Amino acid sequence: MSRKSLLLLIVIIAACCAVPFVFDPEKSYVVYFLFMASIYVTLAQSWNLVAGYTGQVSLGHHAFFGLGAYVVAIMWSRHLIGYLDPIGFILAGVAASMLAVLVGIPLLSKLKGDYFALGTLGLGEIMRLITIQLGAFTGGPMGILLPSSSFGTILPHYFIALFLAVLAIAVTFYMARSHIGLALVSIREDEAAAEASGINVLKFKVLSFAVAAFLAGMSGSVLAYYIFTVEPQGFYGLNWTLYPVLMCVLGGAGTMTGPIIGGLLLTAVFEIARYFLPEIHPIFSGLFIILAIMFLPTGIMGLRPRTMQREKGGVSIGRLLTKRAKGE
Amino acid sequence: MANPLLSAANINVGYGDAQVLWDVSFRVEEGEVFSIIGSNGAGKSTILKTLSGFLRPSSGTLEFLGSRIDGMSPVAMVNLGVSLVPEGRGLFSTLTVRENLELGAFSKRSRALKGESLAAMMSLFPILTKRQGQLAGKMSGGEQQMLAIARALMAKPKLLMLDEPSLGLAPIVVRTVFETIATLKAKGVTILLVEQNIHQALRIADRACVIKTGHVTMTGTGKELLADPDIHRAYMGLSGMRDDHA
Amino acid sequence: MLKILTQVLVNGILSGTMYGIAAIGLSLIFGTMRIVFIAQGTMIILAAYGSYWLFIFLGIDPYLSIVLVVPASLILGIGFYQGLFRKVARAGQFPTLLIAFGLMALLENLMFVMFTGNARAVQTSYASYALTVLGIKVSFVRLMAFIMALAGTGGVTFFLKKTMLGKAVRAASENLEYAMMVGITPHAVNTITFALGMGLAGLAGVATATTYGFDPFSGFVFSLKAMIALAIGGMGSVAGGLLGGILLGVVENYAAFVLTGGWADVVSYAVFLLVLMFKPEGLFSRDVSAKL
Repeated sequence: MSRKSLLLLIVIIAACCAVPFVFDPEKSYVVYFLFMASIYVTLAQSWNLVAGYTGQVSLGHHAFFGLGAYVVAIMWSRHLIGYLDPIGFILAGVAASMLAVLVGIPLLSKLKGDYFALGTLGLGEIMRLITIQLGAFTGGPMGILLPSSSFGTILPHYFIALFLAVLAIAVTFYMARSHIGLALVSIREDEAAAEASGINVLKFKVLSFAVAAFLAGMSGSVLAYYIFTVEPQGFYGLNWTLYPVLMCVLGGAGTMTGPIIGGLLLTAVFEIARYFLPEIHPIFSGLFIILAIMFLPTGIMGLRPRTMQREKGGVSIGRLLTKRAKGE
Repeated sequence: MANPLLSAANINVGYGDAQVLWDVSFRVEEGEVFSIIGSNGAGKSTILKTLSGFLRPSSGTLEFLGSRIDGMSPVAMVNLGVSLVPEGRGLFSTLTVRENLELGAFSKRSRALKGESLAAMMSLFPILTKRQGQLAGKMSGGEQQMLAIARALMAKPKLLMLDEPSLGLAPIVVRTVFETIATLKAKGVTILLVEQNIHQALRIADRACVIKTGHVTMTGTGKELLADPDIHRAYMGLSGMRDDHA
Repeated sequence: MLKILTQVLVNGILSGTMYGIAAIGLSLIFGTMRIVFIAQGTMIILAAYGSYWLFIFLGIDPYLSIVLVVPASLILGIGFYQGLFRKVARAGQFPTLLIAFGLMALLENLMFVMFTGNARAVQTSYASYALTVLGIKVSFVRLMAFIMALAGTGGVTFFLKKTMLGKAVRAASENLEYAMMVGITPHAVNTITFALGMGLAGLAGVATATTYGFDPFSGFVFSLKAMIALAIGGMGSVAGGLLGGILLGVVENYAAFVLTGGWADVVSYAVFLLVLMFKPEGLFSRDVSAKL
């Protein structure tokens, strides 16, 4: 990320910190919007790590999101942790990354490309089903109702979400610039060559998968503390993969700023839709997705291909996967 | 002099930022065999990919039968009468020999003549008649090459392009392949041949050119280039070993 | 005991063909467009609604509605491809996949708003009729669904093996670049497979309407099951898709018999992951030409 972009990002973050003091969180919608946007940006950025940088397209991000949410829900409802307890967040992240390692090792070692994507899709469903099946422990299909008495204002949630988003960006930034990032990109570009150069491909794949899962799990827990009912349909829904993926693609996957732009933009679109067209906003969202991809298949960042070449590690997923379209 | 069937003038082609062909020019006259020779990676396949519509030149002109063809799609090229037998034969290995041939006449220009063409190919290549029910992927290298050529001919091309037909074949099979090319030549088919087997390629060529790292270094008749000492020194030492003797 | 086990087996085969027919649609589309068309299940539900409303408002017997629903699905398939996917086909499989997702979300919610979320099923007079063959009870509607699935499979197989267009589709599925060299246009084969896929969805939709209760959101799980069937049977093969579906149906039914309720589903997904990991080319495919 160039010096200019970094500066811009710092300014934006500072502005976001200032927002709740400018706009009254009780009356204004802006704070809630940025809260959700932060969660989405975290998810998008974490997905970017696995798919954009390492080239492993995972369609099971929601498994980690949901797991993180449930970890917090289960523990808080049993008073093992407190309201907005940091341990809760960390445990959520840890649980999610443990799942990632557990499932990632077999999946990533054996599955490539489409098959890996399918496998992760199945993972999401399995997690949802198991959660329902575990009955009393997880609250079954109805989920867990969390104590709402602790809730005062959105402020702590807002800052935690913001912090998480910044963390996600920072982690991706650090990894991209380090030798890890180099390894990841080389795996994405040519796995066989990477292996031949002595890179432990599996180790790095699982690493990026686990880090992404950690972040996704944490964002799940952040939302859990805010929403107060954690149930399978809402937290293991495919949307938690679909929207971040969309944000990445529209913003420009494999770039640093892509998920941020995509995240902010799409959250805005969806929230506006939900506000003005409450009955049919999912229809609108679906339509928007279709139109957006049709007209911007390589994303907003994709409109400036030259710039992307210079950005370290930046590549359009569209370009990467266009190989198939040409029948190679 | 009549208009050449195909002419390439100052073609520059690249993959993304990597340029592969630099200022390449040549022409192919109707009824002749034109060979493009060069070593691995010189850019020969890129020329064919460009001519068949899979790549677009960044500059320069390509003309076929007098009209511009640069940037036309591969399917449009087939419909114009340019057929390519790619490196690796390009067969549908999960389909039978007969099905491969039938599909060769898929293009609009050749569809109506499918029956005739099929019969003609069967008689020209008896081995295909024998194997028509077999899966294309199960045949020997030489048989596959015959099938690939026959399939390309099903499209009733005005220009037949062959990308390294001798690749991966035993010398005796290579001889058969080139005999086939000679037969086609005798029938008046215009052939653009890209080959690493310099000896065979120049022997059969009316005219030829040499490609080296994306540049055309020499053009002339087959005989001229065959006798050229520079070519002997540069290429014959490597590829001469595989050749049979006249 | 043997009788019960056979009953479960028969049920499994019958319900499995439903998955199979959905899987074949996926397989066709995957062959040419190289995406797993995640909206397939939702298309089936859309067709199911078509059949349902034809029954409710016009009194058309669902089996007769096939004559309307399938052609309509074919045309809809052509329309969807030309309208939505043609443009992005060039941009790669990922944007195409996302459009499929978008389409699924759009249709699901559109149906929800228009038809409400109440479960529907076509209740004809013969809906609960069952035959008894060799002591095994066979539900009439499920038997009909089975026959429809076989007919659909037969039709598609005939198309692929005996017609020029079908051969062109097979060729393009094997290698698109080579297919272009003989003059086969990608858009043409894409349109055909998409239309066929939708046509099969139409057939499956009628079968679904008569055999299950369904709601606008049932499609996603249907798609997943079809994917599992496809993974089991092999991505490229029509027969594989059907067999994969049947095998899945059998596994599911036995699992449901042995375990309680929802765990049967978990078993299905576990099988899915296992097959993907240990035999990604599927249990039934002859040749691994899957290019990834």
